[in-house]
Amino acid sequence: MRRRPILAHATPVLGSKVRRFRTASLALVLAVTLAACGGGAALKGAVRNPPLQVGSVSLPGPDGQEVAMKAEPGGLLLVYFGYTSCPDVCPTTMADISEALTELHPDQAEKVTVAMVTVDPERDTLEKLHEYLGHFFSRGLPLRTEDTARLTEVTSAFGVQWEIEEHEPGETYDVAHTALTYVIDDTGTVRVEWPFGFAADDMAADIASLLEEAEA
Amino acid sequence: MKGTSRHRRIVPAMISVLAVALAACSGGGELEVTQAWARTSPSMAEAGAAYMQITNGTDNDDALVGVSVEPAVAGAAEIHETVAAEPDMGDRGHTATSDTGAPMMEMHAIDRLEIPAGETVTLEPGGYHVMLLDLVSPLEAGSTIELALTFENAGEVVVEAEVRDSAP
Repeated sequence: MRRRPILAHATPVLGSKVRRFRTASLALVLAVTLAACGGGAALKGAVRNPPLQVGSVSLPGPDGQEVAMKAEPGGLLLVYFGYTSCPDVCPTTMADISEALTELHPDQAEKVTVAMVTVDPERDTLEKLHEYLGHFFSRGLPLRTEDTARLTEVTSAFGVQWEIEEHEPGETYDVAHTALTYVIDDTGTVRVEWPFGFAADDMAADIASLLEEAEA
Repeated sequence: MKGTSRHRRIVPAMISVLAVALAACSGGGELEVTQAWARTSPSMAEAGAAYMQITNGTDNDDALVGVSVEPAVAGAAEIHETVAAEPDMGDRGHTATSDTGAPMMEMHAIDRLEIPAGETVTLEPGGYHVMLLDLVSPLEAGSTIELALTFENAGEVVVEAEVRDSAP
C-alpha cells in the first residue's frame, strides 16, 4: 500500500510549490549571511545575528546522562537533527562532515564532537543511533529522548522543525526535518550553520577558523 | 607511387568518418544511464539510496516508471524525491516552530520521473534518488548492486551501481 504523507502540499506530484531543498537553504544562508554583515571571522556558513544560545538545553546521551548543547572547553560540538531510516539527506550530511574531519589536522579533528539528535525515537534506539554514528565518526554522540515536550524544547532552541508521517503501527514512514548542521562553541553559542549540501572543504575551513580563534 | 600514398591517406580518413558516423548513430538514439552509485550504509541501517544520470538521446520523451533491486540486496526499491517542505500546523505530526523558520526537508515516493527528449536528468543527494528499503545486508564500499529500471518507452534497463562512501 502506498504511504500517504500527512502534509496536504506533499501529494506525490511535481507541483510548482515543490522547491528543491538546496535552493531554499541557499536562500536562507544568503538572508542570514546578509543580516550578519560586518561580523568578525570570515566563515563560509551562515552566521546568525544575534547568534542562537543553546547551552541551557540538554538531552540524554549514551549512558542516560544529560548532555548540554555546548562543546568541551576549546572544542566544537556539531549538532544535527535527523533519523537513521533516512536514506538520502542524513547519510549525505554525515558523510560530508566525516570528509571534512579527515581534511583537518588530527589535532583539530579531535576537538570536534558530532552529535545527532533523533527526531524518530520510536524506531531509533540509543544503540541504533550509536551504531549509525559509528559508521561515520570515531567521536559520535547519540542524543535521544522519548519525551516529545523535551525534544520540542531543544528543537525550539535551534529553530528546528520536524514532522512524523502518519502511519499505522509497524508501517514504514518518513520524517520531515530541518537539515541544518549547527556548530556550537564551549559557551553554547551557535557560531555557524551549514545547510544541506554544504561542501566538506568549506566545513573544514569553518571548523579550522573557529578552533584557531578559540586558541588565540 | 603517387596513387598509393593518396590511398594511404584516404583509407584512414574514411575509417574515421565511419567511426564518427557510428558513434553519432548510437549516441543520438539511445537512453543511457551513467555514473550509477549507491552510498555505503551503516551496519544497522534498513534504508539506502542510489544515484545516477539518465540521458535521453532519443527524439521522444520518456519517463522512469519503475525500479527494482535484486532480492539479495534489498526488499524493495522506490523512486523518491527529496523536497523542501512548509511546516504543517495540523495536530498529527510533532511540529516545533520558531521565528527562525529553518526549512524542513522531506522525502516522498513518485510514480514517474520525466526524462524529456535530448535531456539529462540527474538523481543526486538531496533530490531524486532510488530508495532501497529493507536492506538485506549493509552496502559495502567496492561492491556493486544491480538495479533494473523500467522506462515507459525504452523498456527495462539494467544498471550496475558501484557502492561508494561519496559521489564519484
